[in-house]
Amino acid sequence: MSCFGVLLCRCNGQMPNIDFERIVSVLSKDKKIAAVEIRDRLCIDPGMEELGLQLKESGLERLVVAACSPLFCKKLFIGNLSPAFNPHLIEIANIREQCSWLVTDPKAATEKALETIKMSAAKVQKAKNVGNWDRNCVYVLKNKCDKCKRCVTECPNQAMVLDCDGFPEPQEGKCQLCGICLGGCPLKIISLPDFRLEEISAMLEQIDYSAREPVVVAFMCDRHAYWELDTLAAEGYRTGANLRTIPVPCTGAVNMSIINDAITFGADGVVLVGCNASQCKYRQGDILAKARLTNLQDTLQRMMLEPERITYLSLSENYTEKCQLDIEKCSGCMICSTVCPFGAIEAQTLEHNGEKRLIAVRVPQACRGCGICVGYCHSAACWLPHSQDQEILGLIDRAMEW
Amino acid sequence: MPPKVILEKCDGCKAEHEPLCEQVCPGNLMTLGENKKAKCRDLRDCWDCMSCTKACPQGAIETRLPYQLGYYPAKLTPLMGTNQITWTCVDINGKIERFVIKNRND
Amino acid sequence: MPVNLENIEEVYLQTDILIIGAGNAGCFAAIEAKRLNPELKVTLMEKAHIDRSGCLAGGMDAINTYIKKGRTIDEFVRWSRSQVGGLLREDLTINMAELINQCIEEWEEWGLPIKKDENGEYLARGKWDIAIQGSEMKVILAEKTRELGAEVLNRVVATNFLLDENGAVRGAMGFGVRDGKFYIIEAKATIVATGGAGGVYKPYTNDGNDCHHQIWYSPFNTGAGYAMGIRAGAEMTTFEMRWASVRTKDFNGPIDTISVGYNTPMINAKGEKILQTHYAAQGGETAPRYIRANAPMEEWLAGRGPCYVDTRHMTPKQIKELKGDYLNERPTFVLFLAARGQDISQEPIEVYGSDPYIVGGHTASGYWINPDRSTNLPGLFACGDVAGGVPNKFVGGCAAEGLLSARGALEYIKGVNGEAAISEGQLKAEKERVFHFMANQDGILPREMEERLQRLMDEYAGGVHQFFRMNEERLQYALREIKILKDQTKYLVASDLHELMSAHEVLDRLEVAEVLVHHLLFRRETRWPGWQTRMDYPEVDPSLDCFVNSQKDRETGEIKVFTRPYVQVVPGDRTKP
Repeated sequence: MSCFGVLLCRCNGQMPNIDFERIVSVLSKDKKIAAVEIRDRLCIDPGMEELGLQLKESGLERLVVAACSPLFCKKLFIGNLSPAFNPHLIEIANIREQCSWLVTDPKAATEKALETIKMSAAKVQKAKNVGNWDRNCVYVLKNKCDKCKRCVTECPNQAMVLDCDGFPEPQEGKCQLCGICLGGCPLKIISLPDFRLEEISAMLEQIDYSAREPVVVAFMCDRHAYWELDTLAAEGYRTGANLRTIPVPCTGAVNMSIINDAITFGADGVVLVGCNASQCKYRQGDILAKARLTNLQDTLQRMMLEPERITYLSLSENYTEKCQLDIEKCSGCMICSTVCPFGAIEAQTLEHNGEKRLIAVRVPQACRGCGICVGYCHSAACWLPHSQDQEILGLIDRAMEW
Repeated sequence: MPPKVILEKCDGCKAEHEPLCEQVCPGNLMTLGENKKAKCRDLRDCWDCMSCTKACPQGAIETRLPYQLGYYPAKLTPLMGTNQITWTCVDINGKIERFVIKNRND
Repeated sequence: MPVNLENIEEVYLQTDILIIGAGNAGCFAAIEAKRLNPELKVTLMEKAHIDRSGCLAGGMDAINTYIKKGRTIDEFVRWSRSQVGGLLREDLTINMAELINQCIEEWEEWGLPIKKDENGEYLARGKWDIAIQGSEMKVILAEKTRELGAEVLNRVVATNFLLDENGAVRGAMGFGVRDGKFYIIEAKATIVATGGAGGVYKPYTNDGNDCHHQIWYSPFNTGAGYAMGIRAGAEMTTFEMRWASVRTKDFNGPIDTISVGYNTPMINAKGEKILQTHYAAQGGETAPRYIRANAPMEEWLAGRGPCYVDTRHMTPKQIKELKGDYLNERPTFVLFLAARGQDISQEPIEVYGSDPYIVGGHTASGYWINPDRSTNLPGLFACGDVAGGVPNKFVGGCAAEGLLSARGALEYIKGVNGEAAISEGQLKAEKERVFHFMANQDGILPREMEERLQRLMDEYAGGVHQFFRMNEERLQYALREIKILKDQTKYLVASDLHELMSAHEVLDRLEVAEVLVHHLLFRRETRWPGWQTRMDYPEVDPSLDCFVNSQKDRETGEIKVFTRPYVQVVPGDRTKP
């Protein structure tokens, strides 16, 4: 087992409910972890590259960076640390959005952060180059392959073709790394460069399922759902401490064997959070995931387990399309709240510019971005970011030109 | 009548000719029926090894004992994880037993 | 439907080492050959699929032969010898035992989980047994075989060896069960590893047409390797030492899991501990295997049946573990208990004898081989259940024999040059023999003949319904009927390739049955009651303390039976461990 360490970021005090002392003391006691470093603002402080090299000098080969959502600073961290570490051997543990922000209770948030770090540690320890770290496509372990051709049939990009011996061969140019083939492979022999089933299974093993509250494992599409949850967290959305999220390239990439693992280890519920059929970037991921889940639900029923324990949740629209409200312009007439078909706008009395008045506030998780409020608003305080008048007019102009 | 194919779940492995159960059956007993679903060509020739049940990616095969040997409706269902199998056995009186067995080293 | 022989496509392949049968022994032979010389072309011919073929298809819960710390190979030979009434090839047993541990440890390295005790040693389950979690052990082995680059021909049935002008084996012929092609595979050396023969006798679980394969041994091991050898004139040994054993009643499942693993005595209907009460002189609970196999049957005959293994003292934890063990080997046994609604802590598990099998991994039946696993036919090697002389091989021993046969074959091919001189006539005759059943329009179904043979053997050659008993007249009757059946095979009809395979399986079983009856007739004594009970000669004849071997004349078809002397290497009383 090669040596690995944990690099913690306090995010400039943005995680007040996380007890870093406890995290450091627990991690330092773990014999498998060779080093624990803590910084205040990893993304801004100079010298990250040197820090990486220092850690490397001290014998580390793998690294967990416990900081904000991978969607924010992953590229920055990896870019700065990659002179010292192989980028595939760096794993980001999202303790800011997923732990500190989503969970209010300091104790629970700290425990969740610890578990998240442990999960990332398990993943980074299992990380292995099966043969595609330098190739931008999935990898098929041919000596275990039974040539069932399911991956060929299910690939939305026709990126799997049969080689001369009848084995599936991924095409580098066509493969979009969605992992749909991996999710369907009955022999579990397909892997993405940073997403192997063994790694995910190891992550699941780290979760403490003995908690009194039901433990729910969520596999979230990292194009969309995972990102959205992080953003909601930033906006003040809160969940219980019993949710464990694992980002996946697409819900179609979730092989049923890892759900089976989660159930076996003791998870009370497993949810796949992805898109609707019209929204999946890879076109089929959610359809396949839903079909596989339905079959698994039936198996659970035969095993005398409740089929509701595994569920698919689809997020219907993309977050970027949700309506925005401008406090400055809002007159407080509340016509938007009246017309909104989803009850996504509430009237709240807020203090603004020194005076208390009625202001429309969006309920983020309810808004579907239909834009009805935009049409009704007298003060132009509502808008949809990508459907503003100028943009629409511009589109019309272009269409006319053509 | 050992392997019972649950037709709603079986997708014939989407293959043109050989579903996974057909590939693994040591007795060459599984095949694709005319409806493009798996079927056992000769139930009496099954050894009850459960290879097909374990291999089926859809969980669409149930192994049953011949009634001449054991009563209805006992069930034994494997749930295949990455490195372990979770077995659930339900006896004719409805008693449930579960077993988690590692089947592969990491 | 290919009726016209001209239309059947031929596949001609050349290889260095051809291994027939990709089960445990065959895979280990392929692995060893590729390891010793990666340049060699090694081809496996397998009638099923390598992932789940042979006896390990359903899994295994223990390795019954492992030389534990503090034990010696001499001790192992003495134990194994005593279990079979003192008749085995000691030279072969010794060189096999030397390799067993290596195979098991390698298997673990490749992914097989082996249970450990608190000291980190393999968890013992009796004297020579260790507990494993082997439900996927065959898949793990298959992966390793492919990884090392052995070529695997799945779903190709071997039907006969390819013989050159000098009578040396130069590969094999067969047909594809999926593609219907005729395969001719020429090899410098051939290793046969097809396993033993199940389904020669009628199982008592066979209810009319159903549960036909509710047997302990893999019903898909039909003695093809024996039959090919017999037809080619190979010398066979000790077929009369049939393997019958105590199995769970109605399910025919293994009971070593219970009796060795959890110290459960066998009891009769009166609650007496059978072995301690009636077989104390033969060793009580540690009596030889044939005594243990026969004991419950004798109890039935004496009016003291049914018999059980007494599980009533087991703790809930032990029962859970026991069921876990079964799930690794015969998962459906757990289903069977559930289908009975049986709580084994209240109700013991009923046991009964199994139908007899010819299995060289448990008894000494099979090819007469040399220490390098070569047979009397030049270029032919045998390993695993198909090889004779070494009883109590089990999983570990069959793997070790795989290694030995590969080493022998590699040594042999150093002296083989050039292409084999194969006559066209041989290929044409075999193609005709393999496929002519498909041209028949009306006649006998393979299963009809199979059932006829099974009942014949059961009633006249000492099957389980006859409490394993036989006499000269019954055996002569069986022989006459087998001759008729063999003549009748020309009427077999195969309407598809699966039936064609079944037809050849019947042919192979008939070949094995004929030689078996000759062996049973020759041994005019009762050496192993149960395995071989001659009602007309109930005593042991000291002059038959030797191997009974047979060889079929390739030209005349006549079976010659003769003896070979016993050679003792490890001193001591051969009937005592």
